[in-house]
Amino acid sequence: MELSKSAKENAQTLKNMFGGSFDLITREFSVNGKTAETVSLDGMTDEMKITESILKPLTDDKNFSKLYSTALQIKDSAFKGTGITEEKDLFAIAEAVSDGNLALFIDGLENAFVFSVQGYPRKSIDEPQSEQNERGSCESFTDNYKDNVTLLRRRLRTPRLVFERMEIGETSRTSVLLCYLSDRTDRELLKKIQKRLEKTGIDTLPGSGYLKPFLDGRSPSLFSAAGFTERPDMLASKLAEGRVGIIVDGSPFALIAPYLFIDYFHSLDDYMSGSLYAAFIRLLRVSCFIVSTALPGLFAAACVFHPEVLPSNIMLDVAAAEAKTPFSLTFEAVAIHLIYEIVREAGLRMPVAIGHAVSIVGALVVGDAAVTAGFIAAPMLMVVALTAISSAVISKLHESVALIRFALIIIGGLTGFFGIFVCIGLLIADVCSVSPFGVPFSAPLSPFVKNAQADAVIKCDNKILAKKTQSLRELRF
Amino acid sequence: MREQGKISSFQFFCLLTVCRVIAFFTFIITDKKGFSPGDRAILFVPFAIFGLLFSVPALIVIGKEENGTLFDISNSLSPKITKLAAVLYTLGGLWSAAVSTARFELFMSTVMYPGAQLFGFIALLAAAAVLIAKRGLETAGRTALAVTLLIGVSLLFVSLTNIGNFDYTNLSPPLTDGAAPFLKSGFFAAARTSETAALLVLAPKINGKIKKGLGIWFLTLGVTISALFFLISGVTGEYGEKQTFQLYSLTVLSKIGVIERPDALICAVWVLCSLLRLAFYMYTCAQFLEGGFRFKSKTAVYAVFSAAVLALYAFLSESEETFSEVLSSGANEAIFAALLAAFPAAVLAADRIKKLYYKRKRAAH
Repeated sequence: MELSKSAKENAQTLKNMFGGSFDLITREFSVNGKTAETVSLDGMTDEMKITESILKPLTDDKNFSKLYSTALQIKDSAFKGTGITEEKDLFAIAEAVSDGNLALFIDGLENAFVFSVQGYPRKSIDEPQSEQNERGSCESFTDNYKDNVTLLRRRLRTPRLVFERMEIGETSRTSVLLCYLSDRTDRELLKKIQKRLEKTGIDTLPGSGYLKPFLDGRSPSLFSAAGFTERPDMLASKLAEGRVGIIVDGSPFALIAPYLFIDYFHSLDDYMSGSLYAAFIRLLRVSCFIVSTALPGLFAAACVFHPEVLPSNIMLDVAAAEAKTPFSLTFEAVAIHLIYEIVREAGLRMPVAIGHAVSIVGALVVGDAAVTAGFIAAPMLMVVALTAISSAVISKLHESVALIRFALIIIGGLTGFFGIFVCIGLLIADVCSVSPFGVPFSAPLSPFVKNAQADAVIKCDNKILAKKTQSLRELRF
Repeated sequence: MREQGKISSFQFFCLLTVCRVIAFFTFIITDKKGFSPGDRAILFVPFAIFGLLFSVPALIVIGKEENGTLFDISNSLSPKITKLAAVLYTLGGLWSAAVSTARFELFMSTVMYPGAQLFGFIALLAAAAVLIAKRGLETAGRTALAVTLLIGVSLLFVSLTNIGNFDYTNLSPPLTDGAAPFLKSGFFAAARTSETAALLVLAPKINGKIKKGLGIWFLTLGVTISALFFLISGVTGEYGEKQTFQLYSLTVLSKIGVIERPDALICAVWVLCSLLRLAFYMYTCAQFLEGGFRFKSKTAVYAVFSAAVLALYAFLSESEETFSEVLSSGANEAIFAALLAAFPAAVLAADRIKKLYYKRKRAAH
């Protein structure tokens, strides 16, 4: 839509485009003897900047000469403190205004000026909430993507760090940044990600997690090959390996693609600790994954079908405890895990102020009263407790783990170890089948990549790791 | 960087190992005469030799063109031979899958779920195998690597926990019954290694040195199986001789700390082998069929294949006598030997004759 030569008319058209929204502010004044109008959105701009850097110089006639064109003088000298561009299309101007810019129309001019004066309330940089580290950085990403760019730039001070901006969402037009190191990231991988993001066809983008299924491609799987992080240091280290980061405006979680299965068991603290301890901790995390997924199912299967597997004294204790409860062991296992998931979900959603109340209810009602009343056997409660603690160790995998756990309890209770191991077979196959970016999700374990083993299940000494920069290219098959 | 859709030769041999290992776990001695305990320790020698000899035609076929298939040669002879090959190998694969499934069911109904009707379980296994086969060879190859590791750990556990029970007086000198039964055992053991026929159609999907890999694989597998048989003989002695599933009798004796009977858990690991073996057979047979009769929908083939395996397995396991006769008849091994060695050799010979005929014809002109 082309501009009219009348500033008032342009401002009015813009107002109409915004449906007369109350926060659209227009100001009328005179520039070099011509009528001018500015249009901006209240709360999206830095008012001080507008007054000091734009309105004051524009309304001061000393800054202008009748001999030269007003447009030229505005562009050349007056407003060095702000970014300035010229626009001809009213739709583009409306989009710029929505983004927190200020549009300036001057009578008789064919173009409008767009000043970059964004200034909206921002959340300060806090500590990471979901990725606590003992010795790592205390900074986390914020909702503002420009702050996130700064946080990354401070960690990777190289011109090879590239941020490509794109807009996703027909209505929301959310800014999405693809970040990568130009000398380390595979071009094909980058193209694949760009293509998938361009094809989303979504209307609004509420957060980075919304993009995950689009990145994962077609094959349905319990696991995603795109991971989350709210730590700039984590994203920086992944970019250094040749991966691609996706930062979404309005979301403090950046996406990492590709994200491998083994990455779920890594933490930045591993690199700050001794290699032996790091290896031990990683093995512990893997064990916790196995415990949190399979323990309840194996317990149910062992008790129902294969009691000989259990040590005889434990078997007798379990039998005695189960004899006092009215439900079958499988039903008990499903019910208690369901209650655990309810308590967990309540803990996530409810206001912090009443969090303690739910904890007390969970601990007393589920933990104590249910056993005392004879609804649930104490051994089963211990299994749930162990499972819950283990699943907290690998919290990023919680979604998949919860589903697998329920499936294994039911199938284990119905078919014993046979069904559990058929499911485990399917699970291994599922992990091995994910490869949306040309890098197998199960790498470097299967396919086995010898060069990548220094930082896979175990972690070698940092002195060894420093000698070889691990690259994603090694893992491509 | 490797090509997409291909697996490494290591992954392929892991797949073969998984297939072979489950056959070994569920191995039933039907001809005790030719399988004396002393012979088992050195069984790997005839096994590896006969295994490689059986595979020679297949190796020539894939060596003709760089990692070519049987169909590359049969197509040049006649499309009818290609179709015949596709049907024969699919039926062979179906039979092998059904027999191994029936063996596995017999094993489970004997030791894991004594007396239970396990058709539903096997149907679950078949459905799961369809899901894996659908995901392709790459998935199967990668899964095989992980499963091989699990199997290795379980075998190591069984071996280490039983090594203290080893009694050399349980052993007997090798070749006590003469060389003929020993060689016969090796011959039959190698003939049962039917999975190698998959090379005839999967070779183009494998990266790396197949021929060298096959040699190493036969040798490693032979040595491992011989070592396990040696351990079984030394630990279980005459008791083991009377057991239907010999490796299981060794597993039963494994214990660690307060856990005195981990055998059910160890056997459950073998379920993974059975699952992967079935999926591998499905995938390979679909590849054979695709080579002979061009079609797109493999899912339908997998579904039909799994239904056929279920039907055939149900027939085989209907009566123990029938199954026992099938296992002891030697027909099984004869079919595999024919498909692995005889048919490719015949196709190669026909190809050679055809080429000689045209050469002479050209010379006459």
